[in-house]
Amino acid sequence: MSKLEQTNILGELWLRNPSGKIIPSQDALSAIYLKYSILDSPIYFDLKYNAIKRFDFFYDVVFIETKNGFIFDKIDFESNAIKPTDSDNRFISTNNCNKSPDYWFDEVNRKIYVTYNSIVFNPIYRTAVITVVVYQFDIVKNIYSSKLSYDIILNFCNNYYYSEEMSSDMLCELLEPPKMSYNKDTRCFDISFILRGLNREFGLINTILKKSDTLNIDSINCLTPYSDLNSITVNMNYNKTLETDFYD
Amino acid sequence: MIKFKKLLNLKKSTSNSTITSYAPLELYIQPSDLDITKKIHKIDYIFNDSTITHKLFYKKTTTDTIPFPDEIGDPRNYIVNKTFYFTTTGYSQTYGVSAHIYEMGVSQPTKIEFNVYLRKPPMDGNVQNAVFQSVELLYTRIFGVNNDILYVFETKNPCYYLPITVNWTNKPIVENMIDLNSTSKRRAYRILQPFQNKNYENPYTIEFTDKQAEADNDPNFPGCT
Repeated sequence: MSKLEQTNILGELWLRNPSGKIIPSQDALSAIYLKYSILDSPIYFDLKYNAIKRFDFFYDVVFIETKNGFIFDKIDFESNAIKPTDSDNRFISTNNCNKSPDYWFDEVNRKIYVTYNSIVFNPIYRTAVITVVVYQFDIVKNIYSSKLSYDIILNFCNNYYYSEEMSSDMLCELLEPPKMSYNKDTRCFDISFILRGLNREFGLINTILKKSDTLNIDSINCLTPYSDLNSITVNMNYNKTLETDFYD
Repeated sequence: MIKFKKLLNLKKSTSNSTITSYAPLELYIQPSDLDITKKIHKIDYIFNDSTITHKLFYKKTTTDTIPFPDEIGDPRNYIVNKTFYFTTTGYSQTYGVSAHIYEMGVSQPTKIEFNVYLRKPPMDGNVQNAVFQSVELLYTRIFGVNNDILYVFETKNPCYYLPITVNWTNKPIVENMIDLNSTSKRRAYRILQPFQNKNYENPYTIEFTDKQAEADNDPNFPGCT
């Protein structure tokens, strides 16, 4: 089985609780489960029925991805039990063509940068529009907010990608989840993902984001061997100020 | 290295035609069916970077089976081959090829001109001649003052992990799109040509232990399913 296929297998999460006992997450994270049950979130049923794809921990922040979406939630310990710090809805759906997220943990400044992408067909441009979103989670202040969203509009030659019949599901399958990494020397993020051709051929899109007070697009690079590109257009949806870093 | 091969029967009707293929293309031009009545004393095959000439010559005896045994020196007896590579960053590239056929007693050559239209071979997907069944992006790291990016791809059928360093601003001249010579010390995949750094151009080259090469050479190594 390939590494990538492994990440898509659903399973059950077990945890060691503060007293050292290994118990299923339904018990260990019951307060988090309850929070999303009250919020009537689709992730509650995924958690309840063990449809968990990935998990990670960053100090007191838990990341759980299920088949329907993902959460980054700050937790607290109270009376030997794990509880969510707040009642905010942190769920982000990966339905409607939103792809699985990738994240980069800035351990020095205790911030998590989360990115995911999606694709829609734009009948005005007669091509596909890829939306990339970047969140910043300040785990000290417990502030989780979307900081950047931009559209990459790839105008292929000869109306490649243009098809009235193409369903959103078909189009959605051509985009793969992003991968994110950070270069502390240049303060740049790399967000790269595969965008396939109509016959599912390999193509790669890359964005370099320069980090200052905001995240600024430094360059967008494309390798689309299945069709020449007429133009690459970027449409900025929003670009908000980042939470201040303690250290550069 | 993967090469796509084609045989072209050179005739007058070949003129203004286009041969379409994936690159790199090894084109064999066979002139034995040339529809020219007079004796030929020379054929010049003119490519963008070189010219191959075959002149009439005489040899006393031969046991070879050739199309014109009475005229062993006839240029029509000899197949010419030429390999075309991608040298641009585009999706396709066209080469012009011209064959100048010089007949005895005719001052001007007969010119047969045609195009070779090359496309990059598909890496994967539901297409013919794809190198892999699928290529997936597993992992990236951006590093160094030039923002070089390490990409790790996972392929299926055949199954490989492909680590590649790329600098999107560095676009060296392309030679071969894909080089699947698994016996070489470094993996010679050029998935991201023309963006992939050549080792000698990249000061941040990472030396990888080539586990796949070790697996290739181990007959007992389990394959992936």
